[in-house]
Amino acid sequence: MFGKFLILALAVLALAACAKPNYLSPQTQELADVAESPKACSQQLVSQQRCYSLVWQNVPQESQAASFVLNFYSLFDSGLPLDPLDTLTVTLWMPSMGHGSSPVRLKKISDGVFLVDRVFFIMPGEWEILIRFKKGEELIEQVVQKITI
Amino acid sequence: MSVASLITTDDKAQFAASLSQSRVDTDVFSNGVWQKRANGDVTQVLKIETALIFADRYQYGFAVPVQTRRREGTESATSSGFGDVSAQLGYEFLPDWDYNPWRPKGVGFVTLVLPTGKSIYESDQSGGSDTQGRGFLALGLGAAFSKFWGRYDASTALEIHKSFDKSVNSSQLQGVVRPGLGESLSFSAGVSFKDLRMGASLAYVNEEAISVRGSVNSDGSPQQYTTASLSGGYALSDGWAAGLVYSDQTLFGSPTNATLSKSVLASVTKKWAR
Repeated sequence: MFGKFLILALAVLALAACAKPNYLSPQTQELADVAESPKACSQQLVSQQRCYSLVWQNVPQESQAASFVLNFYSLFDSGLPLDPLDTLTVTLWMPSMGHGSSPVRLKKISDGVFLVDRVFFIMPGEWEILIRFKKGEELIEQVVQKITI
Repeated sequence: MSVASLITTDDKAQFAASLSQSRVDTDVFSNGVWQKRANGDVTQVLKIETALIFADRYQYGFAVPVQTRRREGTESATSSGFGDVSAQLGYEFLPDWDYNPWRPKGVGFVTLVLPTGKSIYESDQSGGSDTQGRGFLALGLGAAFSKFWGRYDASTALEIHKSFDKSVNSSQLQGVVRPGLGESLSFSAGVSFKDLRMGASLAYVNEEAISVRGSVNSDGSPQQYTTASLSGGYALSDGWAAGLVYSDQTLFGSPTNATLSKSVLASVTKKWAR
């Protein structure tokens, strides 16, 4: 009896290898966070005739709401802050899991300057910040900022 | 997909009530990188499961979970509600009437999971701590095999399920979520000393990627994880038994795109012999 039991138990253990964790180091996270904030106006939005920068006010962390500022500038008059031509929306999305997060709050501070707060990533992982420009329901342009939480 | 509410012994009916507490330990990204959770995400589940033999070799059963989820940190929140209710129909296609030394008893089953728990797609709480279920209607097909050799026992179950598309119209998404197929395979073994049984099990789960089409488009990544468990059970009188299970999802396999937890479960079970 014990022999049959032992054969089965060994077969199962042979199939299941021990997990080999490959942990993300804290240092990598900090560097990644900084790297995801583009230099001023490094991203062009052709349809909006603008460039933009994303500046974190407080760096997103697990279980803590963050906020960032979106600055839009004219593509033709360097340094002139201007609103986008179309309606701005911001969505948090986790592509690997196929779901988003709770809605962010978007507030215009001044011409070309928008505060995005209540930025809450509901779980650690690889996320996307979808910065979109819409005319009614029609999506005109979208840029994706990748970030690892 | 749980197959716990399935009779694989010689009993005609069984009832189980369990209370478990699990804490998220680690998140594994789609590229296989692990990250320890800094803040607590604790789920307590009270589950009622029952199964009944009818028409000799047929059986049906269901499982109803009620759960409370508590998320810690600056955005802490607690919520309670029903999880996903499941129902099962089984047939003993491989009886063990002559107690063959090797041939196991085999029970085939069909499982239906109803998306009764609020899912991440319907979440209206910051941080999604009000999610209690996976959110998909699912239909599964599988088989469980069990064998006793004196004081030793072993069982295995394999199952494949199809989760169906879900239309979502929320602030995060207007579109369709397509979950795809999933499979699970489990092995368990135990040894009994009079009324005490000690056991161990491994359960492997694979879910196809969840793709999304609509206001957001993404292809998703497959999810894999393995749950290892150690269990102890003590047979009381009149078919009653008490059990304790410790489970850990960080020990075996190559998890990917998964949230790994450690949990403790206490249960009472009542069985009625044929």
